Amino acid sequence: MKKRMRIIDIASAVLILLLVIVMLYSGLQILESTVLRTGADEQGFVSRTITRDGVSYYPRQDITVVMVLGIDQNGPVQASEGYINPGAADMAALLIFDDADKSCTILQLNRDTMLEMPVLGVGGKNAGTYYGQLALSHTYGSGMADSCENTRRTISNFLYGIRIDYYLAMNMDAISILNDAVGGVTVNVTDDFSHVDPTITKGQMTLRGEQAIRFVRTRRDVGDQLNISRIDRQKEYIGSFLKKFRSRYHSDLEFAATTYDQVLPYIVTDCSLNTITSLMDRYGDYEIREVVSPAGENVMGEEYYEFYADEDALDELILRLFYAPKE
Amino acid sequence: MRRMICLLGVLLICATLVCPALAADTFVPSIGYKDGPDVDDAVIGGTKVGDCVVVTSIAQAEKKSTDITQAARDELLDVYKKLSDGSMKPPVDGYVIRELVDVSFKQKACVENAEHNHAEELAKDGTTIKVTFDLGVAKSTKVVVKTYTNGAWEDVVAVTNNGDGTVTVEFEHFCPVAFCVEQGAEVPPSQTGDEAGQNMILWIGLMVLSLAAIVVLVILGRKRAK
Repeated sequence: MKKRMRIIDIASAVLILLLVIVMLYSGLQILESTVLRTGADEQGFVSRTITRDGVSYYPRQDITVVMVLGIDQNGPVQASEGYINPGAADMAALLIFDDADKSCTILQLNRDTMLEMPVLGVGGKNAGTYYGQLALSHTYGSGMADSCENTRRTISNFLYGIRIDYYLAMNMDAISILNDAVGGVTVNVTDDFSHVDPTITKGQMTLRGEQAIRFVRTRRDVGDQLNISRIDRQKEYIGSFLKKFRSRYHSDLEFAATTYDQVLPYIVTDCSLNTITSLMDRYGDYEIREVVSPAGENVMGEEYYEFYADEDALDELILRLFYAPKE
Repeated sequence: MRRMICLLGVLLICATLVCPALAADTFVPSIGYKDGPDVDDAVIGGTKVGDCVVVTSIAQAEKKSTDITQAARDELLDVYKKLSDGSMKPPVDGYVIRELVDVSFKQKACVENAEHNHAEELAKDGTTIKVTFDLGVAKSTKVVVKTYTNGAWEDVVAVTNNGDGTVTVEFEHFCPVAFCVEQGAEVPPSQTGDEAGQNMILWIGLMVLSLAAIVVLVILGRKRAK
């Protein structure tokens, strides 16, 4: 009898131990499957582990992401008196600096991408969401840091809650300033710009001043007049510009400070000159690996174009750029 | 023969006029910014009057680029100023003003020069107007609409969230209108399609069952010991 009781006690103890292990393991799985706060916790980004075909992916910690916006406004930046501003984000790109292979990938998003975005109401308070074109995300708020943060939140949410470390939003005039600061940007012009600017001719040419603005901004009376074609032009321009920028930065000690002062009235950024200098020092030599955009379909809405990203392609792109498989 | 030539001439002229029209601009604009909610529909006394209703945003009121009275414009800007500087409380506790606009009849087209003055019609006792706005709100969003009249916020007759982003509001009169939603609605990250989300229910269940089994075994063990 005693022996039987002893066996039962031992069996119970083993069973309890197993159950404790199961309980702890379940708790660990729950923790991993819910929220992982990254280093940008102060910005409230929530990145999750993702499981695909039995493989778990975690958000990469060895990349730095800079959001660059081109705002459809001329002149120096100016805060809107109202709670909505007229500055749509005509161009939205993420510069992804990868420490692992010392490269930079540029992810350009279509301004007509249909997605959910936060709405800022009177007083700049969160007033629910709106489903519409990405470009509109910057029109909520005063057009300054609040609008940039709204767009940062919008893009982050669209890309599974990735962390966006910095942002730089520039009015159109900043383009010509930056363009000329690097000595002009050379692109291969494939579309007919004769109705817009006859000085922009087909073939390789170095853009100067207003030519740069027209090249990246204009689509009316240019080629097929589609935003997708404009994105292709913007991709080429960004890639060429960054190469020139890097070259000037290394060859001219005063370049960063001078350019920053010139362009400051036309930009909204959370980067001080020191931050930009640090970023350049750290990432300035990174090769531009590729310029990519999510695949999808451009359709005509009731009044305006609407771009719907292909879900599977977007999923694959997000995992490739921002996540790494757990080893 | 002469008639034939004339007819051919007319056809040729028509063709040359039509051709430019056929080769018309195919440019499709991209959306700029939403300057206040669009009016999808408006009905007063069974008559559709959507074309007569104008929504004026703060920006439009400031630029005077709207077909409403100066008094209406001034009142909207005054309300906005007071809400912005804190001298006026938001109309609904715990709610945020998502849109603050003036809703009016178009002055020139529908009041001053109109055969039928809808503003006079609305002013009659018992007459209301139902206006459907494209607010872009989610189906589950509770929308409260207030009008600012004679120095105070008032309820409208009725508000219906139609579930398709539009909201139908029944007004007794027009004036500054505040579309309010509950404060603090955060935007969740997009769906990852993460299968772990579904597995989480299993893990939670497993954890709870394990804990329950442990408790049962411990209790049984203590009873045996006694």
